[in-house]
Amino acid sequence: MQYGIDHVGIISAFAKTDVGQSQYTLGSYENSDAMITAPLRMVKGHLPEKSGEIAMPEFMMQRLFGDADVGDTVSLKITDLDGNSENVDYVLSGIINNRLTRDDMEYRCYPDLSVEDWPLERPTPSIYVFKDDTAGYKKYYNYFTCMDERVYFDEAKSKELSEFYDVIGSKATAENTWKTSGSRKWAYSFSSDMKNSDVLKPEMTDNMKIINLITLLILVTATISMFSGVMSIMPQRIESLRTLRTIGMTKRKLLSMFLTEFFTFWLMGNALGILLGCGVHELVIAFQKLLGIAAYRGYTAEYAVNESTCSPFIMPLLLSLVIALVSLIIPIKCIITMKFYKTPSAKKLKRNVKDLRGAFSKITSNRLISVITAAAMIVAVFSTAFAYCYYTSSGKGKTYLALGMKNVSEQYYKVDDIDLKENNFDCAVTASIPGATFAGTLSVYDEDNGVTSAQLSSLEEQAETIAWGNYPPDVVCYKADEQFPSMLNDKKGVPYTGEEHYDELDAYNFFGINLVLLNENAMELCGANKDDIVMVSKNYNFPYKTGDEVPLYTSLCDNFGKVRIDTMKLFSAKITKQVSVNDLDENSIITNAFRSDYCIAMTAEKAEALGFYHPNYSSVFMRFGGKMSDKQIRKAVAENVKNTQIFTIGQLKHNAFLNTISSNANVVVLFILLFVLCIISVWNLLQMNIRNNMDKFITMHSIGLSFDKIKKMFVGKMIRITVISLIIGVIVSFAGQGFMKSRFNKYDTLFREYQVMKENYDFPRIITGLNENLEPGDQFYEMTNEMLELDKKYMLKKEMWVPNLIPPLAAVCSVILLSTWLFSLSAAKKIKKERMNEIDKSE
Amino acid sequence: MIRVNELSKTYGTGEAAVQALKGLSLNIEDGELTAIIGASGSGKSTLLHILGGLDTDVSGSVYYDDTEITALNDAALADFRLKNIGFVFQFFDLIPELTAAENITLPQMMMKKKRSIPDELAERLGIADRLKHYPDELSGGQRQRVAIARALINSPSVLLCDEPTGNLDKASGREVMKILKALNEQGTTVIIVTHDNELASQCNRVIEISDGVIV
Repeated sequence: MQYGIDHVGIISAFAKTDVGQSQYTLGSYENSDAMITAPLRMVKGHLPEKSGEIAMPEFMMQRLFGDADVGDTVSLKITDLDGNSENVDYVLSGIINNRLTRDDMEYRCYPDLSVEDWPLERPTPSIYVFKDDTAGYKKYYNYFTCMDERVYFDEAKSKELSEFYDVIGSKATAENTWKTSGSRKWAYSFSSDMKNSDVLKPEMTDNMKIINLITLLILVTATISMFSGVMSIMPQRIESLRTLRTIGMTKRKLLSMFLTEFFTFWLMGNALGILLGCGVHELVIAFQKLLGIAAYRGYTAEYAVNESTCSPFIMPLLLSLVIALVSLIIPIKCIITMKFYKTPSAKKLKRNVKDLRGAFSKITSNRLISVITAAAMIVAVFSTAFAYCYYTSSGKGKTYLALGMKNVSEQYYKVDDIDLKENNFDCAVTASIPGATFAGTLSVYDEDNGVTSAQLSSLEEQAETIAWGNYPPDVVCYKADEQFPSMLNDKKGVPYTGEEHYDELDAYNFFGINLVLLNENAMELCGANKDDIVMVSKNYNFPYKTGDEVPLYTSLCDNFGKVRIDTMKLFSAKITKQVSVNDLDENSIITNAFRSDYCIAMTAEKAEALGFYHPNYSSVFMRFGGKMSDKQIRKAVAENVKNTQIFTIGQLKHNAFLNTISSNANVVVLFILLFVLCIISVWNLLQMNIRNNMDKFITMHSIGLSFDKIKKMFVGKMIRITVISLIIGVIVSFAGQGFMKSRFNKYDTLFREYQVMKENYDFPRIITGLNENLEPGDQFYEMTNEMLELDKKYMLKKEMWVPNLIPPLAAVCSVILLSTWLFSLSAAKKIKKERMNEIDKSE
Repeated sequence: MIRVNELSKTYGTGEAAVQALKGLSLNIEDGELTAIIGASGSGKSTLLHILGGLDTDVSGSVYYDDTEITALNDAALADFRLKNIGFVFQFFDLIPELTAAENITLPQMMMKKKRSIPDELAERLGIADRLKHYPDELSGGQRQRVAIARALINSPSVLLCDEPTGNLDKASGREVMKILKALNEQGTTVIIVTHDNELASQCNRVIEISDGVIV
């Protein structure tokens, strides 16, 4: 072939069959290259060479057909990709030598993907039929090549690839997956060149965007506040400045005096603001520490400083300067254009007055102020919607306290991969072992950790318990034959772990096996009782059957992890039961106890009787049946166990809540600040309105309008502005949500098309990474580019724009409405007071 | 008739307390043109405000015929003021956002009556051609005449004027005084607070207040 790719193996998959509780895939080799690029070893016989033949792994054959052998006819119930089932007769042509688990057989060939990313709908077959027998079924193809040929794909990326289409076949009908195989060592990695900053960037960028957006909203609100503050003093100030002008001050001096005064207050405000800002930051950190959560979480100030190019003080000063300059536009204009005498104001509302309400409205109307007030409220409402969406989508957990959301993040209830909440456990205990490779591993050189049988018995008086403990597999081993290797006796320090150790043991036909201790309840979950010794396999491959005596060696390790040969003991355990993990309920928690392919399970008492060292349980899950409080549970458990970590459901709930706060702390703090600014702005504007119109209110009182009526009219007008603003704010919020949803839908549609295209696309591009070296004009390039742009621009998290906005908007609108009403009333009370002052002054 | 009985008014409390009126009593008959004169701080403006129901924190009583206004609450007082009293202030107290016509008909709007300015009133006050203008487009004299028109629009029985010519030039002041006298001749009780003796001399009755008492 043009690009030096000598072999492209094609394997199809067309159906599934049930083996126990698992489903295995059926397929066929579509071409001869498949044997080269994805070889299989046969125990007996051969792969199907004609129609009607079938080959399957030995354990599967034994499980399904018992004593069937090559040449026998077997009937298999298969389900095709459309879900239609049928029984098909095959002749067994070969037995495949494959002891791996189903996942290993069918998915391990995806070297570039983590387990979570395995495309579960496209596994490689475990069972093979002749290719002609796949005709008529819907199927998909997997393509294989050899590792060393991959280098040529880099060249092929930018070149015409039409000849590959011949190999692949029709793109329109097949679902394609490209992967590599050929070696145990998966060398290729998409992420090998990723730097730390690349890993950090996507998350930080989103978080920074959120912070930037909220900061922008704060900026807008602060501008509103400052602007309105300056405008409120201008009428009186202009008059006094006019007087100074009349006395003899030049406009330049007036301006200079005004600006000096203004920026003196500006500097003071900034100093206070920076102090408060730093203070708030420290307060948040202290608050989080007080709650016992890691102080950096959710507060990205450190990352912000690292990412930003400015010092943390320059930016706020610059922003504040911008606000100040905006606020100064009108005052400067007034001073520059000031005349000695007061000229008739050009701007008056032309609207005709029909009644008192119209007159009142005309009197108190200041379009600019009304717009500013409305803007502040609209910002408050919209930012509520935005912050609420963000809070409910990106928090690590959603708690009962989050408005409208009741879920608590699952991960906070998991101990040792078991979800306490889902399984109704009140408490979990894990062995706290320094240097353990994973929680639940007991070290055989430390007998003080874990839960002894006696301690477990005490706990079992109060609670239903399920307990297990895992002995590291390297320490317990059995051998295939009866001879104890004499050479091992001479060795002082057989490595505890690592290739060398395995090789050493392998050379003497030793195999590692995991000893698993289960308490009585856990044994029952396996279908065994407390006297059983159970051989557990992850599939159906049992090296030892029921009734066999397994020769087991156990030893202690020294503090450096080396096996102490002098402590090695041999004893045998008679298997009383066989259990396949595949046969257990997939939701049963006991599957978590069996971490290795092969395990021997028994109770700690049994293990002790056999002579094992330190048979302790390391993971204990308890149900107290609602009889005790969290605190009582903790106390009861702590009295019975030592050197273990105790997790109670109440504590985990608390952690979930705290984590939610901490992961959202920055946004919540900013949002609260923004909201407070909006409320202050509204209050300020109301005060300003009253102050500027006080004389008129007093005149109206003199004419014959009571204070109550004036107050009612004022409050009514403010409420009207508020209601209109809030309605606009709500409309803008829903419109924003709708817009973002539409952006996400567009992204989603593109993404689905992208997936289909990816599957049908030229495979050399797929193998080397989809976004690398695509060319402009290429349809795929355009599509992925558009998707990337959408994602970057809109921060497309679907959950972000899905939450029900009605509760938070209703809450914030109520608060604003209530605030306006209260502030209006409070401001209106000043009218009477001012009236009295006027009377006092007139004398 | 307006009856004032033992009227006292104190400003402030404790050592800073100032007694503006000290047990003042007087009667003003219907149709009188009365001037209240006194030096600055004598209590004359205080008396006018109390007569107008603008200040109720007093001891003593004020009656308009049978109605004791000092016993009324703010709403009732406002209503009484709207229907029976007209106010004219030294600084006009016109609302700058409303036109002259809108200022004049403000009391009508407060009473929810149909807005209309009798031609005769506008002609008599010489402001018929200025009704669509805003206060800052009018001269001082015109503004005061607009204020007088506003005070008269509901045909009050009493007109209270606090230094009505204080902010006007002599000519405008004479114009305004002429109007007030004409009103009085038509039966309106007019009470003017002033420190202008020449103006006071044009009134039928002059009440001098000094240090909170009638001299």
